[in-house]
Amino acid sequence: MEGDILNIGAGIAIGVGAIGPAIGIGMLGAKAMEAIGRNPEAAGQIQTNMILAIAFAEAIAIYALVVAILIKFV
Amino acid sequence: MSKIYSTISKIILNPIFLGVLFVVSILGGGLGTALDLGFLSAPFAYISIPAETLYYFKGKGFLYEFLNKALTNTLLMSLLSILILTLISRRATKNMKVVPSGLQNLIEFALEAMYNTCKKIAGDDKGKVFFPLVMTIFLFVVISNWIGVLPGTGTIGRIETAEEYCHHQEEKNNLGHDVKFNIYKTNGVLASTMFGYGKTDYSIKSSDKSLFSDSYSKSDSVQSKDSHSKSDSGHGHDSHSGSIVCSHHWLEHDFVHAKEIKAKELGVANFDDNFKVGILVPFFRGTNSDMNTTLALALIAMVCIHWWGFKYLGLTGHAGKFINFKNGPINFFVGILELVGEFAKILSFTFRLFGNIFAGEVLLFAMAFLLPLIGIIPFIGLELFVGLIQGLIFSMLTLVFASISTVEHNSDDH
Repeated sequence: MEGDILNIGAGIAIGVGAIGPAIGIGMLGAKAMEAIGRNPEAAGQIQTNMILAIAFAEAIAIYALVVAILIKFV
Repeated sequence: MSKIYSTISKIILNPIFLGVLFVVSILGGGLGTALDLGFLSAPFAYISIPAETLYYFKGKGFLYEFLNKALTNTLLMSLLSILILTLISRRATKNMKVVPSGLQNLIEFALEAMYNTCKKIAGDDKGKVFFPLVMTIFLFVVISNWIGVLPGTGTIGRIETAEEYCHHQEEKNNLGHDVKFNIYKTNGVLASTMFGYGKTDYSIKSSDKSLFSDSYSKSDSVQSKDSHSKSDSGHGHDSHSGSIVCSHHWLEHDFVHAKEIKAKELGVANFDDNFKVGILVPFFRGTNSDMNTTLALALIAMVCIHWWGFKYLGLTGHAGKFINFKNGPINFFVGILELVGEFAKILSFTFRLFGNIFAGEVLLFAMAFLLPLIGIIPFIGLELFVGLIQGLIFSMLTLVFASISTVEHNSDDH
């Protein structure tokens, strides 16, 4: 019984925690594509900055993942 | 010869063949166990966050001190990736030519691309200084991620029998976990998830007392704690699993007994010594799925970043960003926040890499469990990509943080 609730909690932790970063990464990607479309010569620089920003957004999802792992296994 | 190849590729790419393969792998895998099939399924690998120990050093030699008493599988893997990097660079620089070709060309291309990025982001002078660390982190992370998805990592190893497992957990004072032991076939040294009995009803949970109830009540080595749990065995056996699992007398009898029960269920006369109850300890496991490795990388990166900060801005210049008395109380608190942010950087460096690689490993395990034959193939491609991207992100963030840390922070500008 306790284990079941822990499993559900881990699922909710990563599921809800991934919503924000997903929206953020989508917006970043969309804006970067738009920027490349407007200024194709700056594609390299935009890509580098986009990957960096995505890494920051993704870090939030990773925190959620760590919490989920902690709930599940520790 | 080429005709044979074309026939083979025709067979493999045949949609009917692929469809049959797909159906067989669905029915044979973890999903098929619901339909009493699951003929291909392996046990779901035991997922442990700390790296598994391959060998405990005894005595007090150099290795004992240096490797912290134990050789873990992730440490072995990181040594392997260092070896691979050394060999590649030896090969590439053996016969250096002015006009590069082959391996030298590839390495020069990679180094040059990163060198130009460094110079572009940090400026010509600082880029030269930052480049060695950034490139080292990139190469190490990428190579160790890539060898971590090779087939065989995480699936081939030795069996740590239930007794050994409980003994080690007892030494670490880490009991009370609910671990699912499986029955594996082994030739003494090697074992693989492929030769485990994978259907869910062939595995034994360490807190699953119903299996052991027979000899459990017979055993007279049971201590007072156990008699207590016997009295209220009707409700909640999880709370007692710790005290029960660590009782060695209990284990020696009862895992033999459990094996007999399972042998009966499987219709085998009896399991001989080649069958062991335990968990699989893989010989190899991706280096970055161990938090110690990623924490070490993060600490190296952050120490270097601040070293460069002090080097370029001086003691007061760099420390003044964090402990700032000059511009009133608001800037003082901003400085404190930035100091906290530096520690958050270490954490996010650590958990980003660890989380990605560890999650990737669990994903591969899950796919190998659900779709045994083909499910893993697209995800290996995904993991190779993730490994490259994570290496890029780690090194790029190091570069950007280093260039931010070496720039004078001027609050009047904005």
